Amino acid sequence: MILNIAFKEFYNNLLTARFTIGFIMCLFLIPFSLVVNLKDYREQLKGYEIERVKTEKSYQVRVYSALRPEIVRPPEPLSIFSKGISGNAANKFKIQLDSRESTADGYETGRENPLLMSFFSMDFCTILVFILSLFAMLFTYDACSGERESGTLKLVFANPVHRWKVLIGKLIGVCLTLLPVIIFCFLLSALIVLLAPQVSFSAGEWLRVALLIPVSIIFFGLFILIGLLFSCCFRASSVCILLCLFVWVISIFIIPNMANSLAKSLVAAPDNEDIVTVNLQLNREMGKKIAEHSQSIRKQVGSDFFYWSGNGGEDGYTELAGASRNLMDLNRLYFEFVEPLRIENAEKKGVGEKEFMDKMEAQMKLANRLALLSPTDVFRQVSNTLCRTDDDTRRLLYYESLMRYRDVFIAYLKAKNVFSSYEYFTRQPPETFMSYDEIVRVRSGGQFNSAAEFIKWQKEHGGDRSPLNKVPIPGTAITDYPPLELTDMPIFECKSPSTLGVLRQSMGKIAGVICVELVLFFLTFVCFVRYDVR
Amino acid sequence: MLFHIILREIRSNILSLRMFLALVLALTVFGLGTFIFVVNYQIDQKICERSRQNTIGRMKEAAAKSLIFLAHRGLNLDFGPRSNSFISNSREDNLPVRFAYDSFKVHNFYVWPGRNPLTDSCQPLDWMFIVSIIISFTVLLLAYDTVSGEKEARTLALSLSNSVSRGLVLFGKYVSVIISTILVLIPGTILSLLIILSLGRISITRGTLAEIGLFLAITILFVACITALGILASVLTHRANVSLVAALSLWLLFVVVVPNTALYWAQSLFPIETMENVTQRINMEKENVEKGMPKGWKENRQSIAENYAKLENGSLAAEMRIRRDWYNQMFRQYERTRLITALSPISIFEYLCEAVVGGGYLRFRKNWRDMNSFQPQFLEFVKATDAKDPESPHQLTPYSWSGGSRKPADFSDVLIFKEKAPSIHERFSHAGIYLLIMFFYTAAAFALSFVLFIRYDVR
Repeated sequence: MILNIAFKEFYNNLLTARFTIGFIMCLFLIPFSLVVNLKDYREQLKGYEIERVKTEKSYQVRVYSALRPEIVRPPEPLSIFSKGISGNAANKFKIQLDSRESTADGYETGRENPLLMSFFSMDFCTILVFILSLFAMLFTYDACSGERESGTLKLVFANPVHRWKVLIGKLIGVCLTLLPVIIFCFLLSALIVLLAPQVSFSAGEWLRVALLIPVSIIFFGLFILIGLLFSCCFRASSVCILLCLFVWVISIFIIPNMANSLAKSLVAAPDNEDIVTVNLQLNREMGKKIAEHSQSIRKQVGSDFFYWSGNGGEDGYTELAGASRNLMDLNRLYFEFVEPLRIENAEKKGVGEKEFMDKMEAQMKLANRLALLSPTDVFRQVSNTLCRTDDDTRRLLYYESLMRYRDVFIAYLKAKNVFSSYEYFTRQPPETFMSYDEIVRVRSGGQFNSAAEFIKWQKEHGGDRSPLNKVPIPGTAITDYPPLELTDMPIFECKSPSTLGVLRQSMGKIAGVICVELVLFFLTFVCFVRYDVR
Repeated sequence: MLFHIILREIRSNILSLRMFLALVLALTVFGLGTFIFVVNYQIDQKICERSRQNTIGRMKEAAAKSLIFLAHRGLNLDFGPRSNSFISNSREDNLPVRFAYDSFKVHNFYVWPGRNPLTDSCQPLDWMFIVSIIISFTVLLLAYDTVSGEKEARTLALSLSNSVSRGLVLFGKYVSVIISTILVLIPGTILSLLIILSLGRISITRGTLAEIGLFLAITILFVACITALGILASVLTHRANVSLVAALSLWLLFVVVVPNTALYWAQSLFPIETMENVTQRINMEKENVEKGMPKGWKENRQSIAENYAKLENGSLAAEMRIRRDWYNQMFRQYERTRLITALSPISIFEYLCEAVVGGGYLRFRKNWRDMNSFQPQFLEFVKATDAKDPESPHQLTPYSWSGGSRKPADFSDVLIFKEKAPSIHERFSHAGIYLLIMFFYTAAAFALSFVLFIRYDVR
């Protein structure tokens, strides 16, 4: 009997104009949303490839002071289905000694034009939730009230059939109508992804996509029940549709936007300027210490600043060759003191930065919690978690593993004792170091006997260094040395959260939805049993 | 007769549940949205004011050190929140609001750095949002069954049996929907204004009142457009629930699909040069400038300072030429994409609101233009001050610090950029094309529904 009713409902639904329109919308919008996101993903991939090539060069260094591993994160393929915040964060990180901050530069999702940030984009899950939740309600709003209006409900009840059987039959009928549409949407999207060039999903990723199906069915069940409840509560179907549509608009447009703005006003927005000021102060203090130390070692070693070839850059990068022994010693003593100090300073600066991020996270978490009022937003959050584009995954994958890797990398440098070795800034073996006098004597082929003579001559000739080109000394150019062998260097790795863990994480939300569904079903049942069919 | 029809329709609308629900929803969102706006405005204002003070502090510090230090000091210019953004925020949370400049160049523009990267992009609940979502939705709910609903209830045949032309009936229904919608809108705006006035943190000037008036005018135009579309959906079918689905699909298309695919159109139809490419071009141009220097200029001690200045100014000019070209590409890409999204009346309404409040992209472009004409003035000021110092070599260059005065500058003379709101003319020329499209849309939809209504079978 139940099946009979269900099939009748199913055929009825199939013949309606709303089914045709809904199906056509799915047919057009789902492929379109996927094409849009595939394009975006491919742009990201292009950016990633460019950055990755550059990153490989970051290991081709000759001295340890230049060794600052760069990490690029590949774009998340599942962001095609659910974008989440994957497009907001930078994708390239550089491990540095004097900063713990990890939000470095890099391609921002291939959007070269910052103005495009103001265009919002939608993904598969958004479109699915928009259209299907609307149609779930459109199919159920007149299930009971509509039949009452047309007078068929009386006829149905005149048969020897329990009211609950009719209700279950109707429910199954609607599910039968929507289920094929949902599955069709997913199959279509899978087909598009399979056919798309440059995109390939692993088995685990397909599993996550497959998991989206039951999750979306659970969510659409909620909308079906809401529609059914209204239909059983009110006598006129026009009232039911109105209430359904208002619930839909509030749930999709009002609550998520309001939650975000409200969270912003409830959790005090952190001020970037504070961090800038504190960091400036910390840097100044450190600078003072470094300056004092430099003076003292200069007194100790003496200071001539002669080097034949050299290079330098950010975060302590210094590379020398053919320098005087004094300068080499000076540098060694300098880095031995400075580098640990900079690491310590980074820890201090990291406190403020972490607070900043914590506040941002608190704001986001509150917004998400407030948005739980809207069933569609719950679906968004769950699908983001499943597609690894939510904040928890970001933190686990990048922030935490990056911090861990930074610690491991620094421990590696410390274990090799590079800060107090010459290898930190030069590859020239210490036994080949010469004093300034010697260098001048050898290079000038005996024209000058001491550095003082040369300096005097140089002053008279307007800074000319050409006499030193006479006799070359081998191994005094930085390019004479091959890159460092870094076979024992730790490699960055990050484990993506397991599917099971993700499920457990979303379990609470899904269980909540199921509970609400049970309550709604109970209410619908009560209303339907008490429904006045006249 | 027309008056009679309108009055009857409005009366039945006012008594309807949908009008009541819409009114409740609109009032709630107007109230809450405005309240949140006032709180957030203060927070943003405070942060932005601090950033501005810090920038001025940095300028003062630099000026106290030396003129050349001030000339090279990289500065940020922030555009704070607008006090009229309760009407329309115009997506300023996601548009660039910070310019980086020094006396030699306006280097780049950025989105506000304090923006939370962890939350999804969302729209604040300003008036524009409420009108474009809730009010447009209300309009559809009021309009979808004006014809097909009456046909189902069999009252349409009765109405038309009177000595009244079909056009008049349709027009009467059209006007009555617009008026009913305005009846939903007005209490909300009044509530919103009352909240702002009673909290007293934001002053409402005469300019703001004028903007509110303009906003209401544009809203009426927008409502007229959506009503025409709703009535079109109604005359397309003979059954009210089919026209509801049609109207909702149309609405979904305009609210969700068209605006949210803008990024795709931008990337695929109007691609711009990649950053890599631009950097390469800049480097090449810089090399060319260096090659173009006279031979052996580094050895010529007498003119070396002059030549250095020439080289550096030349390569900066080359870089800025390429950069400006690139930025113009960005602006064009953005503007063209917006024209594509003008397919949706809701996007058009958003752009019109932007023009009304002088915010969003209009504000950005105006400030960018103003900033680019301010920077040469700033440089002129630096040069003039430098000329007063007899000890300076008078060779100001963008990259090296040796060519300018090392004496401190008097900060009270230093030019500071002040933001100017876009003029009426600028706003109008920004809105012109969108106004035209909107008029066209309304007229086309109404004409089509008129034709269909004339041929409508009332049986």
